[in-house]
Amino acid sequence: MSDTTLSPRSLRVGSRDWRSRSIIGLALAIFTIPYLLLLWLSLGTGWSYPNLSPDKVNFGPWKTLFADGNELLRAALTSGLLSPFVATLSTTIGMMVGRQVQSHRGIWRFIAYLPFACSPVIIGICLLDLFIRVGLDGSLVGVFAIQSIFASAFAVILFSELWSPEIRQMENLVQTLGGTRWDVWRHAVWPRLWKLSAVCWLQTLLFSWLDYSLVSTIGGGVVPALTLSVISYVREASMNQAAHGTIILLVPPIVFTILVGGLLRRRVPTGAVDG
Amino acid sequence: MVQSLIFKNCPTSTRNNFREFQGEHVSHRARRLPTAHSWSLHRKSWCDCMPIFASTSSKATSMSALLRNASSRLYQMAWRSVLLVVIALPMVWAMCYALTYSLGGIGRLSSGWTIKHWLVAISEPSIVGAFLFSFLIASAVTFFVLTATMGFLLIFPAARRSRAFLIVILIMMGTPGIAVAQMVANVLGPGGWFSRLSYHAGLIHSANDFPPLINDRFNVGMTISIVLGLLPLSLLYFSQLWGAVRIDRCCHLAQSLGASWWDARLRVALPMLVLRGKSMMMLLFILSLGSYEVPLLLGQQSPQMFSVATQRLATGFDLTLKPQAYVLAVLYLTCTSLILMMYVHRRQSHE
Repeated sequence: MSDTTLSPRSLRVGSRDWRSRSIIGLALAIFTIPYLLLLWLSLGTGWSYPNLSPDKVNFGPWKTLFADGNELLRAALTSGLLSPFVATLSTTIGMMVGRQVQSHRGIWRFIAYLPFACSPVIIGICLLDLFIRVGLDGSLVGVFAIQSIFASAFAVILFSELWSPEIRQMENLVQTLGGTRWDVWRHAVWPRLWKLSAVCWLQTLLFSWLDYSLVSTIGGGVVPALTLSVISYVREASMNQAAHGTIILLVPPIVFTILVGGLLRRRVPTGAVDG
Repeated sequence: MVQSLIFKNCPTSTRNNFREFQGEHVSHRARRLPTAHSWSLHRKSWCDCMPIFASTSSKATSMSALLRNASSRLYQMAWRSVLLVVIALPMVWAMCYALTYSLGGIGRLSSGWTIKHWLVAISEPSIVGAFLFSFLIASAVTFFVLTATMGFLLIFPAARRSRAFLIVILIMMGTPGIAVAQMVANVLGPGGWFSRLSYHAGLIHSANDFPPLINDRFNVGMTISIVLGLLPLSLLYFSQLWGAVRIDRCCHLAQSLGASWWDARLRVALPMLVLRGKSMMMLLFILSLGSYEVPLLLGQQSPQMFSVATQRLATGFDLTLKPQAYVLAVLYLTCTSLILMMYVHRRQSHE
């Protein structure tokens, strides 16, 4: 359309180009300031008032990270060990249940959305009594259980929203050509599903890694987590330690989100749809 | 591939009957049309074009079909029970527990069933305040998020295709609430970077001169942080929507019919986005209503958001306040469930 007619808009786009570029550049600069500031703060010690940079840039927090009994390292390792288990369990549940929820609407979808919509801390407080009775409060298993509830709900939603009807048609084809149930999974479902499963696994992993409300209520301060340490640093106003913890906290989400974006982008070619 | 071609060419009723024969469940909405007449009418012509289907359809009552049917029933029971046990049961337990506790049914200090706690809670300014305040903040956040999204998309519709935009959105999406709150505090707080810059520029003489934006009366810092947390989700959704409903073409059409650039944006693109994005707005509202980490770090002492107020009342030292925490929890869960029901209903009627 734009090739054949030279609309007023296409003329204006050319004259707008440098302006929009400069606006985008400015926006990018504003966007990067907080991240750079956080990194800069994590590299130094102290930040007394009128100074724009930390008092001493001596890599202080990073040097002590690998010292014996470092609280931050212990918390990061616990979160890092717990999250793959939560992710694996919830992705499996999501894969099993998600496609069915897609074809059954109404109450089933409502149930799947409920933990996603409700504030985890309020649900955590309401379930704390049950966890105490069962004896799971303040234990890693308890945290694993409650995180799995929320992560599974998320996985179910993800699979139910993104399950394409093509998979079902392929399944039917393999089945009618004489394939067994295993063949259906191997040849029809899995090739189209592995990317979605990877996305779901990474997202649920991140949910568990970034969770604060559930660890703080059910874990009761006994189970260490990186988010708990960061919030306690922020509350005691130790800027550099908090920034250091946040940088460690931020690395996996940003890497994984870009990875997920790449996976999804290749799956759904946008831009071809609109003219 | 072959089957998908065939499926496209045969009528809906035939397709559904075939799936049911295969032992699959067909949703009620899709099953609306089939009648015995239409089935028999289309069956022959469709089965003739695929010999395999023709042979299997004649053995509809065979043993293998029965077995497949039974196993799919079993599978259906299995997924339903997983959904019920893993997700629904804890949720229902939590709701019932909160309701019973708030009515005095359980609790160490409880002296029997009573509505006393509800009456106290209704007259307690901190609880009513938390209720109204949460709704106010959630509405404000939803409004700001939508304004920012719409403004950005209407002015720079081409930005959604750029790599830089996608990377920025993804990085923002990967930044958790705790980190956003900390960044906002580092930049906008009284001892933050902007305050220091203004000091060096000679605008203020001490940190106290800088207008309070964190833990302040108007909750500026908190609102900004929640908005920044939800903005990538909304931007991603609406930019996908922009492509999916082909708003570009509609704008082009409007412009070639004589509308100005702004008219095409405000009278064509904006209503289309708003109409299609209502369910997303509900979701944004629910998510901002339940935010916890940001209000915990950047909010003021009173009034507080739902989550923070409930957490404070439930885990505080004063055990007599505990039933009121559950009153608040019941209120929150009821509101969220109602909005969620509206959301699910809307999604269902628009698909």
